[in-house]
Amino acid sequence: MSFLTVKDITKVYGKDKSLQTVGLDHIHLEIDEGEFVVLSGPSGSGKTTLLNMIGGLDSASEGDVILAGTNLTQLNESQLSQERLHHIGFVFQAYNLIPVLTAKENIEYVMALQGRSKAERDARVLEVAKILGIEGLLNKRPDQMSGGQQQRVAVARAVASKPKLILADEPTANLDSATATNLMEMMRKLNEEEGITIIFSSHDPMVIAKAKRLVVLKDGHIQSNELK
Amino acid sequence: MNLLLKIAFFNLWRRKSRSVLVILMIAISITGLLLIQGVYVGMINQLVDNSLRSDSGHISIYHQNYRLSKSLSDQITAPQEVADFLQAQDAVKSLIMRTRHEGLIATAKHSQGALFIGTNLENENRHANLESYLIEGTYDFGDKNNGALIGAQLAKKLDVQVGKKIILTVQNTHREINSVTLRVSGIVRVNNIEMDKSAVLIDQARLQKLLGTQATQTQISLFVKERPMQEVLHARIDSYLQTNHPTLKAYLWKDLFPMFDMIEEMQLVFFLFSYGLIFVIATIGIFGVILVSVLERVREFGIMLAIGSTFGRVRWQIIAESFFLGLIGLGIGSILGGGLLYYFSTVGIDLRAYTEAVAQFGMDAIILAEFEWHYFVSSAIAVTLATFFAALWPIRVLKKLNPIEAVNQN
Repeated sequence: MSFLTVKDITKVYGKDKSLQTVGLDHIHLEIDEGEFVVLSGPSGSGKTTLLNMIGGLDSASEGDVILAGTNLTQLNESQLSQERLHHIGFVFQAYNLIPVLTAKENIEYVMALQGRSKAERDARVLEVAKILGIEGLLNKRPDQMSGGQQQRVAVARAVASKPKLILADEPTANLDSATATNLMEMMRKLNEEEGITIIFSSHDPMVIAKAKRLVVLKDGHIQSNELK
Repeated sequence: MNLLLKIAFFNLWRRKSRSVLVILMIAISITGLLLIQGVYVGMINQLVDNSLRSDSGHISIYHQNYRLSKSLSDQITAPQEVADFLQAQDAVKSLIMRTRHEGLIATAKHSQGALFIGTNLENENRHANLESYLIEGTYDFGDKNNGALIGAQLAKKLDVQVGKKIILTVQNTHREINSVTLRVSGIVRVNNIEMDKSAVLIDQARLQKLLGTQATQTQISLFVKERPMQEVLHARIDSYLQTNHPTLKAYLWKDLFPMFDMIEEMQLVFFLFSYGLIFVIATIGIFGVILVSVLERVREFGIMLAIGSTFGRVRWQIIAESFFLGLIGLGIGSILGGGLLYYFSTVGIDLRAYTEAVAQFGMDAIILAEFEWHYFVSSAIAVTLATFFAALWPIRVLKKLNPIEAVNQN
């Protein structure tokens, strides 16, 4: 059985049948542990919707999402919250750091929610900060950092708690190409060194070029799914 | 928990002016409330204290008919025996025996009904520091006990000054009219309206002689060491009197001055109203800030939920923000109000420029505010409840908005 199985997922928006829009149409996808997958496709193709389904942020109209043997579509809000807390890391396009916390506190936030000790958190923050080259930013707040720096902190936050899966929704969209390339290399490194499964959504050719597997979506369907 | 509190605390300062405004609103309300309560309670305590010191004490003993008849035939039987019993009680701080009788006071130009009180000034001073009420003259009855202390309003009405002659006329126990001429040795203002309007204090033996009686006592007034003891002592005295002197009766000051009991009840209503007002002010102020703050940060809460926070934790964060707003306002208000209250409880509010006017209401010219810790505790409870209730609606609004959906809105 695959690490992640997206089984015949359909997402329909709107209650009135005549006005309904299909976001995802019977998508089936299987991803193994440690993969580095990019979901690509034009705007409106369903990339973000699919990521939200996988992350338990949105509910499916039909189908199942099975992550490491757990069917996310059958969990209630509280169980989903626990699943996200312990097994899934998120990186968003707009960084979305907590503005009143320093980079260090943002990175350790999820670990603090998990109830890890201060010593463990401190050690892990330093470890991840070294990998991502952000040791010098740890005491800065988001408004004192550039976009690229904030995104690296956001990646650190997603990685620090050692999730099974990281979902990154267009993480390079707001970055210049050099920063984006740098970020992608670091994420690839994390994927290889920490064995974390990473799924991106992006239509950035540079990101697509880094993918080990590329899934192209169009109009809510999988157009292609190939290993590179 | 630390991160939750830190986020909550620093979120308040993302819109500084808004938070500061609400904090000031709460602080000023609490400062005002503490002051008003302290001054109000201080005024009432002074009012009660003046009446107790100049008249009833905590407990007064009379013949059971005396308060209606005001007749000398309704005097205290065996006063010394009763006094001995009272003095043997641990709870009794001090007592005094007085002879009271109504009569006529006259000067060359005016005459007026008055209450003659035969007493011993030294005992009065030990009992209730009566000398502190002296505003003119000397605190004595003169070398030959032919002096009198009279109430300030009575002196004014008779247009009589210290050293002037007054004639006291009474109907004695033989139903004959008897008079004595005395000189005013001092004028007292006890801020007990009835006393100031009608009291004439003279040497007890002289009044007894004027009344044609010997050792007649109509009132025994006593103070207890601690006010909470008064009810227990009253019950004990009542029981003693019923057994040994059934014609006598002990009265608590509240029975003698039912108006004060009413005032104390009104004080409770006033307190409840005041705390209610603080609750409403704090609730409305905090509610506004928290609601706007929550609506501005729906996406932020969505992110927190997305990365693993539970809604329960988000709920506590909002309550903590609300709590901090209230707590800071409460802290500043308590320090400011407490400081001012302490000042006015030691130095007092000086109304000496309006002595005559405030005396009409039985108030002292210098009002000492009363500093009591329960004001602070009650304010803290009101504000804490307000912080909790103020956060409930914004939390409900956030829940309805489903913040996790806002995560994908760029």
